[in-house]
Amino acid sequence: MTYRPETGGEFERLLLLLVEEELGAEDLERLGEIFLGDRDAREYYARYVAIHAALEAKQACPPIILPDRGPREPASGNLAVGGQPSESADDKNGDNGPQSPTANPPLANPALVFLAGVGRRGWGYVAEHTLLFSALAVLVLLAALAVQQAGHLLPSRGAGGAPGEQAAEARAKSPPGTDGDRADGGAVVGDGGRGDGSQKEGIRKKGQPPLAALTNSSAARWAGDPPTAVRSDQLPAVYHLLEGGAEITLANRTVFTLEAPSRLELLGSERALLHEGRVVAYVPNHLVSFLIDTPTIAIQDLGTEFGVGVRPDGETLVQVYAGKVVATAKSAFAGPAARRQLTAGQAVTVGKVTQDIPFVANRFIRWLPAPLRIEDEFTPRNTPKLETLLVPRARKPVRVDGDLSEWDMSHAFEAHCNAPYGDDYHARGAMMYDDKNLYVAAVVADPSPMRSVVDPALDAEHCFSGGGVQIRLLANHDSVWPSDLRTKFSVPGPRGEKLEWALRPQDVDERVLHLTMWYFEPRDQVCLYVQHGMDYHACTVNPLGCQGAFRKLDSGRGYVMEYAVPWKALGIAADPPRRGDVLPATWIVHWSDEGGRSWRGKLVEVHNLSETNRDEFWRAVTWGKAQFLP
Amino acid sequence: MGNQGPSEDFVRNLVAYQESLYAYLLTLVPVREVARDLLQDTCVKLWSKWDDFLPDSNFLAWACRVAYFTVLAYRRDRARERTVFDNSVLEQLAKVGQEQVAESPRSAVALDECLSALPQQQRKLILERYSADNSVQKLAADSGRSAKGLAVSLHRIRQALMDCVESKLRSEEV
Repeated sequence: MTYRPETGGEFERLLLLLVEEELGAEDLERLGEIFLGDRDAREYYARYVAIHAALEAKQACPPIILPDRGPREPASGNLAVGGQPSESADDKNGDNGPQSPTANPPLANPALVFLAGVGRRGWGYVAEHTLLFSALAVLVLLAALAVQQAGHLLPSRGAGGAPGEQAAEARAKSPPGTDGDRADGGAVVGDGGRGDGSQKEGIRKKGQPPLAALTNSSAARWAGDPPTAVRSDQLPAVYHLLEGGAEITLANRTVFTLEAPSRLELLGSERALLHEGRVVAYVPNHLVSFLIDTPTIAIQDLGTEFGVGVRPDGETLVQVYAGKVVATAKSAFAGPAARRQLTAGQAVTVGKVTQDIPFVANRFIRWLPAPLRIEDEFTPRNTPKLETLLVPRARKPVRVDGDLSEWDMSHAFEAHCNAPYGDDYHARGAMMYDDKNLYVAAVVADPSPMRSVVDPALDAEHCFSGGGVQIRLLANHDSVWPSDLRTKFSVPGPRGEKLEWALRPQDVDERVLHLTMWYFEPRDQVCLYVQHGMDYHACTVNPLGCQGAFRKLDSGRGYVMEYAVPWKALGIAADPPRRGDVLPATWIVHWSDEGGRSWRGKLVEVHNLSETNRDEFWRAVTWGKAQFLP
Repeated sequence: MGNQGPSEDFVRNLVAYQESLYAYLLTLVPVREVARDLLQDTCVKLWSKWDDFLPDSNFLAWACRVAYFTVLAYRRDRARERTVFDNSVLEQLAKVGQEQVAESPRSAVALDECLSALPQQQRKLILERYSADNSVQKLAADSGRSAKGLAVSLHRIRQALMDCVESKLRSEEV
């Protein structure tokens, strides 16, 4: 007879607490006593936890159904990447529609060029500033050949993210009348079922979804036709990329971002061989283990993100962005260094010798620009409605604890993203000040709150991409509004010449402040990143004296954030904003994907309402005003 | 002898038994975050010992043993926190846990079928509970039900799934 704990009894009560992780020390002790004296209880418990664990594994990172078709490249000349639609005619002109992955001639690859042009700013910045990048791309096109001949691309990072997740969310949020299941260019990946992708189901039958698919490519040129969708009976599958970049997604959500020239051989849902080139593996499921072999080492992933580069001479570079990997050298001469565990922030080269090298965040391309697709028109965004934010003086001490009860919120702005996102993506924001501090508070609706995995120690430049709040402020009493400050950029002249708008002294003024505030989930860390000038210089992470607090809303679908930032930490203690000042300023709230990794959308408020575009990163003319009240 | 990297067998087993190892660890340390960390630590140890693994031997038994010692080390470091069972309890649970996870690959397939067989409301509820870090409190707030009542409902669904899975496994054996 099957054992079952007494209904409403002590054992059942303790089990309920256990699965909700509310078991106290005394409860644990009592449960232990029950187990020691009762084998049936132990067996029942083991079976119960097995179901509990299996359900968690099933839902934590469910396999995705991959498309059968290859990807559509980002449209030529259209730089509205990263899920943010363009409003400008410039952007629309560039859409050349679907392209065959093998069809790109070597020079007609603006995305490749763009990788060079983006440089350290990354795709996320591009996602924010599409208009100016459209102009930039034309100019930078000329540099394409040189970049390709150099044999490497400047690394970037941005909003593309794992297409499966993006598409799954887009599908879930597609408004009535849109077709969320449409395999548009191969980038739409549904989540409507359990693809197998799992080891326990063994060999797939034909007709089942693929275990791997080419889900994105950028300026890609291949040796032969790349496998667009791979089933288990089609293994091994070789991806030989001659130019550009490509993204391969597995049903278990592992994503490879391949950078040309590269040759990757997919051996199974858990193993690949990188013969040459560079790849970044992103393995979001902590229950999926993946092995990448190279000629010199084997790298075992343990739920992580890491980059691997193999030179023609076989020397291999491994760099870990998140989690842990174990790298095992294959050389008989590797000696004690034969196995190394590497954690986030570490990098090594393995060749004739194994040596540690500095971690360089942008060493690899980790994201490609997302292909254009209909869902992109539905990423969260808003139409700014407020030009001037009133900033009252703090009348009583502000306790930075995520409780805004002492705040004067009477002047707070409230903004919602446009339909259909208004219910889930909105924010209420306010600022206060006194002689010592700038105070910032916001209540942000966010379906995936406080999930950012952007490490302030390694990757602060991309801090916005995991979600958070940004404020830009020109703390100069003499500034005029609208401000004409701008960052450096170039545009093509009438004869194709390069017209460069250089930075002026006022553009690099220390009093131009950019504050990005976010919560780094892996270390439960409240973060602030401060940059100065329109050249974004003198960057500091968590400057001395800053206080911040985040608190998740009870609903679990948003957060409250509160900061006190000393004027001293911003370098303007001697002459901070004072009553009566009306200073150029703007607010941006960023949202990420559910993994806290890829930028998903933003809300801009406190905006120059006569400006229709939202290039607040590039041009301060788009900023609204902060009026400091007496 | 040159170090030629891990065998196919080792890699295949390590990958195939990730979920089983996680379930085993969660049995011993019933806190998900800790169990996930311990899974990583266990995998690191397994990887560092891969050449100890004999191709035709019982990988899961070996891996569970390594996982068990990983838990003991974890407990030793945190003995004062009283968040892990006593060693004597762990020893007993390790035995039943290993027996249980030996069935887990078959159980997982059966679980899929049993989930499909659940009434729609129940299936929706249990899957929601395990989606994206949902908690009973959060689900209760969303649904307007009491957290306690909801926890009991979820417990009944888990029990129903257990019964269903065991019944399917038994019928396979006949």
